[in-house]
Amino acid sequence: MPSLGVSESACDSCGRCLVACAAGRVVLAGALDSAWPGQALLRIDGPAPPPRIRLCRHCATAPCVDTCVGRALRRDQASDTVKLDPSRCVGCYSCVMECPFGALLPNPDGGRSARDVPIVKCDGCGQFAHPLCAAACPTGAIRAAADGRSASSRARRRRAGLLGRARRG
Amino acid sequence: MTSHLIIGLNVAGIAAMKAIREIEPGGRIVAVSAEAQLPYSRVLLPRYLGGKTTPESMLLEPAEFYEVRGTRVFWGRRVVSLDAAQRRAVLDDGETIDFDRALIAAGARPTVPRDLAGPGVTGLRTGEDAAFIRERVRGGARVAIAGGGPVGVKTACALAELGVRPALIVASGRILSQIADNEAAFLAQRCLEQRGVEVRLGADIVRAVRGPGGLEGLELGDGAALPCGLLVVCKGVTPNVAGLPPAVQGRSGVAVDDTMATRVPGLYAAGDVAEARDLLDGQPRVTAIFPGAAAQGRIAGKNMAGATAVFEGSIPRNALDLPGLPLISIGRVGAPLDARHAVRVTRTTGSYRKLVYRDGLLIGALLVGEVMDAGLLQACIRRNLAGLLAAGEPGQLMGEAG
Ligand SMILES: Cc1cc2nc3c(=O)[nH]c(=O)nc-3n(C[C@H](O)[C@H](O)[C@H](O)COP(=O)(O)OP(=O)(O)OC[C@H]3O[C@@H](n4cnc5c(N)ncnc54)[C@H](O)[C@@H]3O)c2cc1C
Repeated sequence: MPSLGVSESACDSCGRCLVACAAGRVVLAGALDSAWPGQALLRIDGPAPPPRIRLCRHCATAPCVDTCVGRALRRDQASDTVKLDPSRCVGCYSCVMECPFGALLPNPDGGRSARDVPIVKCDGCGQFAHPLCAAACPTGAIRAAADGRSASSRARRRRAGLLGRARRG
Repeated sequence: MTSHLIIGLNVAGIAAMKAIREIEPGGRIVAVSAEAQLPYSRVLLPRYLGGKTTPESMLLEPAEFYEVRGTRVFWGRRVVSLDAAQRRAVLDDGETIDFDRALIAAGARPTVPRDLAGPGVTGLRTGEDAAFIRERVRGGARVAIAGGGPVGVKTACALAELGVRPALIVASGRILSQIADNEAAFLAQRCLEQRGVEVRLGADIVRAVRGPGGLEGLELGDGAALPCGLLVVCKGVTPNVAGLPPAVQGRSGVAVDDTMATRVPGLYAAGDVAEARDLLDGQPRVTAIFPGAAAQGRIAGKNMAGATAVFEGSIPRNALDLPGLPLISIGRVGAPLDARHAVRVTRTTGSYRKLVYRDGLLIGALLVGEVMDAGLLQACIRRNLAGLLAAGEPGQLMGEAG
């Protein structure tokens, strides 16, 4: 998938990303192979300017992966994303404590859904080429950056420390 | 080609192995692991006690991870001496390993007071410890746990969920005294008691009472007798420094700089054995936590492989998943009542949040019930503490949270 660029200062809290993520997960269930159909995998805390976009940046050196005690969070080299395997997640909240973007979300549906998953996070839209949230964002707050599959740009992003150019504050 | 030696293979050793491989694919790495089984997550041991996870789900890496070209692991073997000048390690069976760079990732072991040690008394650090505890519990032994820190609390909780009704013996006036304040500790204690844990605060263990059948009970400071057949001691850990050259040793563990290098060229240390810089006061200290071991191991591995990486410093922190009551503590959660410190507390039904400020800068957070903001707060605390240190205005030691 293309990397995601997030710029909170451009966000006007319209919420289209949330709808696209949740709805897209139902419509494209097969293609996305999502563990969380019908649920938005990001959150906007706002509208206080700038709103906080709680969306996984798929960090190259990801603190959540470092801290995952059950090997549930892994970096997937093939897709260049951070993946959460819900079947291995024990709900210890360590990742919630480590993510500087607040992108690991305690599952509001936890305990009620068939899959009792304690934590949800962006799955990078699986193998689907266009992140749904970026496609729906009218302001450029969430952008699908230029396709970064080439080794050199991957290395560049690694040096930058984060996948995508995350601007904070 | 540089040959790397990794002493001890758990969170820190594995992180270093990954980092070295990334920079030197196929590079020569020899690891010595005192434990014979594949490395597993110790954090999950309480869950394992409670029958909530399987050994397979506890593995840090699958078996194939250790079977990569260039890597060789000596399982169930121990480094007994390390000659820094010769760059040579001696194993328990006399075999020697030569290296260019070595990482000391030997971790730590439970601190068990000498007068308590003996039959029926154990820590909880290894799969073996957990198997021993399970066997005793199955045999109907009454269990006492000494120590009200995160490990003691989790162990008590896990055993309670088995229906065991353990006693948790805590020396201070509240549980979680290092990471929580009175209110958070009260909420956590209530949660434990609802699960069937008997919490004894302000209680000292004076003596272990043993009979012909092994441990029979404990004598407490107030004269009370507590019958039990098993005592699990969760009163902190001691770094494994046996066999290491004296020159690498710090106050209790191995002293390292921000690149994880020890004072001896070619020797590095990371994880529960290492005394790395604590952002709270700028002093080197063992902060025995999983994410710290992973970050330090990676940084050590990178530097060993010739890259340059710098550790940004430790922040004491803990996430506790009590049933229905997550609790996260970051940085300094108790503040002296002076003009420079301020505290902001928010309560809702089922949640408690305390933020601690120094000169208007957030330096600590304690979240109970509602923890979603923990990562954002940690990032902020990290920035502030690093800034205060750089400005020559370090915070102070945490001490007992107020
Ligand atoms: C019950 C329990 C619960 C925990 N819960 C949490 C938690 O919730 N959150 C958290 O952040 N942390 C938690 N921790 C701490 C966490 O497990 C440690 O921080 C982490 O394991 C440290 O990893 P390490 O690689 O530095 O050392 P260790 O895990 O101690 O591994 C070191 C290895 O080196 C081996 N070794 C020692 N000496 C030698 C030698 N001379 N030669 C060869 N091998 C040697 C040891 O046998 C061991 O296998 C918990 C720990 C325990 C025991």
